[in-house]
Amino acid sequence: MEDDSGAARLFSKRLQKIGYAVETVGNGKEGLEKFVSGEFDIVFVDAVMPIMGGVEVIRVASARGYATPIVMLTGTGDERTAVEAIKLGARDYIIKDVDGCYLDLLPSVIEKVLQQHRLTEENKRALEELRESEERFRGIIETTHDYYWVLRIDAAGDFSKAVMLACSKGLGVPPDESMENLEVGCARPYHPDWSWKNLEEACLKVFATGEVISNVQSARLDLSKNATEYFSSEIFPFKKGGAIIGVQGLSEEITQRRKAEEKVRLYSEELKRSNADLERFAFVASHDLQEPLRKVVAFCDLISNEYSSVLDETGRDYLRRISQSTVRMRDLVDDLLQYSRVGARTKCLGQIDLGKPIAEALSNLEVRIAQSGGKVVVEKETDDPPPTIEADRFQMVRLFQNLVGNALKFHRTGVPPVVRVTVKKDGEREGFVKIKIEDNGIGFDEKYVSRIFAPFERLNPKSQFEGTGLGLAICHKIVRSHGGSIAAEGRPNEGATFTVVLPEKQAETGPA
Amino acid sequence: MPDRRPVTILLAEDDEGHSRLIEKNLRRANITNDILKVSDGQKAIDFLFSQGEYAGRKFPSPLLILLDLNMPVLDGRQVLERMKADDRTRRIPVIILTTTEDTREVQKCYDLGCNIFITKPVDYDRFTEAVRKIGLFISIVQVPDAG
Repeated sequence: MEDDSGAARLFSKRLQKIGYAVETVGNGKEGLEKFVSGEFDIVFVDAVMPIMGGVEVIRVASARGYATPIVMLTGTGDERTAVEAIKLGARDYIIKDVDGCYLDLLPSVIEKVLQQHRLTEENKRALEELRESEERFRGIIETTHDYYWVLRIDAAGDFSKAVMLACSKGLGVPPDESMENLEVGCARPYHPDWSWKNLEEACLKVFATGEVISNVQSARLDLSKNATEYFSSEIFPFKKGGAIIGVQGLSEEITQRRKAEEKVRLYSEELKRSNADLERFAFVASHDLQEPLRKVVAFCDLISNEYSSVLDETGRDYLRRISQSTVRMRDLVDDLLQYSRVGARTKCLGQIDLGKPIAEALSNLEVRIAQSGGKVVVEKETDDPPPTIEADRFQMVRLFQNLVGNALKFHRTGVPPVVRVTVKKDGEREGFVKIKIEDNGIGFDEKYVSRIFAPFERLNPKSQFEGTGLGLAICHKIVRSHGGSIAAEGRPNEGATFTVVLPEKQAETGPA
Repeated sequence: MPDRRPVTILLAEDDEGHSRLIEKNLRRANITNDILKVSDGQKAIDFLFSQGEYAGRKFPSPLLILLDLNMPVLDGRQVLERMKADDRTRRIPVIILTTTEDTREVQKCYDLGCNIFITKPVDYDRFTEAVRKIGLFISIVQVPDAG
């Protein structure tokens, strides 16, 4: 909105040149009418216009709740108007200088304002959602009812002759009748819908023994809604003059809760099943892949041994590449097999001195340690013998071999790896052992920490560091299946630390 | 504002069902204070005067009492009389709960120094509402320290 048509033309030309569609009007009143359509992303208003000035336009627009962001254009030395415009709800202002430099500012102002606008809208939406969910939550609280009821039972304990003396609204007994005086009793026959075995037995037990029974689960069919309602009840004796003449109960309707619990149970069963299927699949696939792979390796070897002379240099290069890929594939299949084999069911538990699997892992890595030019130090906090834990020995060797192997592999160029392994009792948790593997390697960015243990995740390019992307995933699985935890800390170029916490004793039924 | 310790609530009610109901509804009304329950008037007195099974244990302060009128051994009125006659317990606020509509009974309790008198309505929904209101009341009331 700009009354000076020359300025308006300059303005639109500049914006059209960089790809915006522009529409101009000569005064505020006309502009406001356009506003209603809501088809503009951003509106510029001149401060001084005939009929209706810019400030007035902003005032009306924000009073009517128009969401489109507005930017004020003012003359030089008119900052006060600009401030007022901002107070009224303008997003920004631009001062029109005489030589038209302000036109250069337009693109960045537009970008900024639109960005701001998007953020505000998002916030608004988020708030809206929050409010909705709060209302839903409040709805749940308010619809959870406790029902109270009193039942008189005859001395013989005949439940079919029990009489409902009082009960709260909503339990199916007409309210005016349930409100009868407790002392007199309304002599209403026991409601037939309520013949739920659990509750009946609990009531009779309370009646006979005088003890309180909690958490009695029962269900009934609500005929009006044709739906099953579930209850959890607390049952107390009902006494008069010291003698137990019936029972009283507090029943909470738990239909929603039960439904939610049921859903969770079904989901977790399904998840367990599909996980088992997946593991089985991975096992079978990798197992069956080994056979053809072995053949490929064998024949590659035969060709390179016996026909090397027949091949020219290009042929030999191709063959070398095939061999290399095959070796990589064999490693992958091996790791995949390992990964799918680790699980509670396949564990072979025994008491092991943690020093042993560590020593065994180091001896397996001997060549690599020597090649890297680095060293591995195993440290003990005290002179006590290393802690003994209940675990699968082979899986422990694999765990330490992978962790130390990783520490050796991811060293910085030119810096020989130094790996420190410490084993001690966990100071924070009784009955747990803490193992730390620290290195001085390339480390990693903390923001990737959640991905580091996932199968096939690689933080570093394959071309630089060989590997299958399964090493840490296997470690994670081994630790989890032993009921422990593993964590990683690191900083780029400052090394990484892996902390493994394992229980000294395995639970009777380990996690699947 | 002076540092105030949370008020402990002593609930003297012989009917376990009612006692649980009151507790549950107080919790529903967002009362998170400790609630101690005793099942007859004598136990309430023992508790207040550190005798019998409560010998040697000083009752928590500040304290507020929800007292049922009809209780075995010692009834609510007797408990009230004993409390108001002793300097140690005279100032503890007492809310009487009863099913009685007898106005003379109500008057008598006020004469004895009960602070509030609440008729337990026979119908559960109104009772719930009444307990919720007690809860609301407890949450704003200022209770004096003992001594």
